[in-house]
Amino acid sequence: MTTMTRYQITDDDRKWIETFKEKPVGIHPPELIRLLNRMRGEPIDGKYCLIIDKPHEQWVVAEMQGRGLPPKLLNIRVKNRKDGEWEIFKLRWQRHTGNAL
Amino acid sequence: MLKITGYSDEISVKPGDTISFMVNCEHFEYQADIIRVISGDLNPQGPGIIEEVIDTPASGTYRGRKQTIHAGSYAMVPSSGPLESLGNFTVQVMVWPSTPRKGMQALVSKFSNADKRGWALVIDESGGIAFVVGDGKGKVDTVAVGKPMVEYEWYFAAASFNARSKKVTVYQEPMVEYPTIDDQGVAQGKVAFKPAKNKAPLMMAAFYEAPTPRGDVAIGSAYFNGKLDSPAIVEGVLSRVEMEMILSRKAPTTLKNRMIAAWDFSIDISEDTITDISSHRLNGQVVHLPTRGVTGYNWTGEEQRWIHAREQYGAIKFHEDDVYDAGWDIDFKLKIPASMKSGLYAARVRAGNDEEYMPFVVRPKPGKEKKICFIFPITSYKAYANEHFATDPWVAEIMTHRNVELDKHHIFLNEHREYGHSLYDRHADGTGVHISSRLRPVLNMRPKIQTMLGGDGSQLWQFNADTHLTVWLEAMAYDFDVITDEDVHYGGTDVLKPYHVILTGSHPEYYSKNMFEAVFDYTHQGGRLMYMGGNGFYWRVSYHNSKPGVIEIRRAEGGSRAWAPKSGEYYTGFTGEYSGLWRRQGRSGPNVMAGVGFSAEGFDISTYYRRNPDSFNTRAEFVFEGIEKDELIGDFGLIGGGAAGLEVDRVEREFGTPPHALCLASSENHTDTYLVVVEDLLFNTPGSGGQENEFVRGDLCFYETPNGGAVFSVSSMAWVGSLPWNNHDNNVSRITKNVLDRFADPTPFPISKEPAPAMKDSYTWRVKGSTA
Repeated sequence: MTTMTRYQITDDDRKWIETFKEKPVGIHPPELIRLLNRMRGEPIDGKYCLIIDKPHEQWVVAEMQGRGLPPKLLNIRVKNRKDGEWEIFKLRWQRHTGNAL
Repeated sequence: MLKITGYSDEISVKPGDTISFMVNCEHFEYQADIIRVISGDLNPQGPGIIEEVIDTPASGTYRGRKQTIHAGSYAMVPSSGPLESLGNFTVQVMVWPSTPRKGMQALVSKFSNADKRGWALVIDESGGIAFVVGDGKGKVDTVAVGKPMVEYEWYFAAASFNARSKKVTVYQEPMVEYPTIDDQGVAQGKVAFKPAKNKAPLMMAAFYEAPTPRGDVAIGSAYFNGKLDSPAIVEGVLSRVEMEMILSRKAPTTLKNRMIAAWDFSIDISEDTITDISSHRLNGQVVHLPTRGVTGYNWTGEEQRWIHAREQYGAIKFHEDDVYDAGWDIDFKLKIPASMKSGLYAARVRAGNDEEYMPFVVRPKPGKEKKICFIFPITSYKAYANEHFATDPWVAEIMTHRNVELDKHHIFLNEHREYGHSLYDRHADGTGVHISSRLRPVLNMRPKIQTMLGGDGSQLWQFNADTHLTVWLEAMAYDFDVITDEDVHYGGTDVLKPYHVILTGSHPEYYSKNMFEAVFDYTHQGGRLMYMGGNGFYWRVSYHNSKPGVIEIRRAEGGSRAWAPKSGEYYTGFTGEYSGLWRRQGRSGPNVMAGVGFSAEGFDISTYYRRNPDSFNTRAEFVFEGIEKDELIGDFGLIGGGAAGLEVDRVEREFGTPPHALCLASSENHTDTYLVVVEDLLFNTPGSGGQENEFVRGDLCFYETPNGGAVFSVSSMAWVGSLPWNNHDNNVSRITKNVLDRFADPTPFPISKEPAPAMKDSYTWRVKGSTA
């Protein structure tokens, strides 16, 4: 996986999960930023994203497939961006650690 | 997926002018209306969608039809006797392939691909040079070197053809040798038939397929990515030495007399013509504006500016996804009635559940201008036209620290690369896009759309974000005109002169020399400028001399940039201007124009401003009328939840902020997603984020200019997103109104001469004030 950071997510990062869940966007402690840089720095092929289904009302979680290709929709719908951040965080945690949250 | 897309030929019209609309519609028919655009924000916390239908003869039901874009640049030379009656001949060209392995790519072709008629020098599926002949009955034969070339390296490519023996010799010679790489070769072979004669134009960088529906240019195929330099066709089977003589323009008369054509791309670099220096004068044109003024195979590195060494800039860089003019047929027109007041409008097209807008500006009739004018920043909209931030660069989400969100147009544009790219994107070959045009559907210049860079909340950027300003101007009952910065580019200060005050959009980032000088001169001739955004007046761009609606940039040296140009390519092909940051160009730059210049960016949440000592200077009393001493300014808003956000600017004397400027208020407490701009980093050190760094802030700035003029800068892209908050009743709205009312009042500002203050840094300016 090509990313900007070489940081590897481990069980030590579990302590930031609740902090992120509570406030996924905003001022964060440096260690949580380091964790998120790893997650958010995914390459475009396979990158998780939200598709605007109904503007400001509903989003669908999807996985991008790269330049020129349509995103693959996952069967996860959310009603606000905060929930969208959490759903994608869980998917990424699984991808990076092999463990479900 | 989008089923309706469209564009207009003009972006700015006045009463009496006619504007044409070109529509691609997959529905059987559609309803078209002309609307005035007032607000395009779908955010339920904001003013909502506000548009006013205008009764015009253009409204009505029209038959839908599919129109497609045939992207890909190429050079085209009309067919003629010398090209149609070749016997023995040699074709040669210097080639710099950027995607040699992508499959068949035409280099120089007299080949009608539809019926496989003619000949072509190509890169074939092997990634190497080959010569193709077609019999006109569907059969082709090829002689190929069969060795892939290395990307971004120059090669000599040629083929000679003996018409009697049908013997072909193909050459592929790298200019640089890598000892373990096998990329040089000469292939000899006999083809089964002679190339069939044809009337197709000679094409470079593509095969000919058919004329476009408008008939003016061609639809091509097998588009080439990379540079071509010094293509030539010569009668006879040339020796390698003779080929070199042709290339070096040192052919003796006997050889020169056999030249069928030799195109010198270093002539008229700024135009769309190509010149044949042989006696046949088989001149041609380039289509879809491939990049010119790029280094040739013989560039030594000693000279950086093509105007000074044209002979080393005889290359053209072609891209399979270049698009200048979509070239669609007109579907309906509108003659602007005298009753249509100046403003922001759009042709709205609806069918079923699908909808498309084609925005345009109606400027006032000369002599009928109002006092206030919004400068519609079409130049910056063009720079971002059809950007692929969400789907192309993997760094995007780290820059925003929010999930990537894809709106409908993002998904469409990712799959429809023929709609072209923005100046932030990369071509299919990975090189940066230098040229962007509005003569195609610009799907992110629309009401209702969202864009991930636009911060949490409304997520608006450029066009749709600027409707936060237009809805506020309407709500506050201001009578205002709208003109575009293209009008300023072509009209200079004369188009600004009638106004007491001009307002920019939220991100007037791209400025041509004409625009920069016109706005600056306006402020020194008594005009008042309200710079209503962040990161304005930043990049220098060139408009094409003869083709409308298209700009070019070279992101020279540094700056916050999506790509870097190649060495030797910092001067635009359109005009030969040094491009890049305005702040590197003498007494120019955002701080000189507006007192502030780009300082930091981040795209998650926004924040507020706190008043500085300068805000209590009597010169600025009018700004803060009705604002409390300790009141936080803009701790609310539709863009990231605050008035200070996305891209923010600061005062800095070193970069040209006038010494008497007042640093009225500054933002604070940005997230660490906000980082100091790279052009301010000499050494890269820890502590460059918003929680720590002094430079991560936006400054409200005011100063007087000569002859009764003045400048007020908000220094934040998010400012306008706070204007409509709480039904326009808030302190951002109040301050903006205080300034606009005063700026619209022609009474000169009181001036008293003071001794020049000592040079001070940006920090001192903020905490101690202008006179410190």
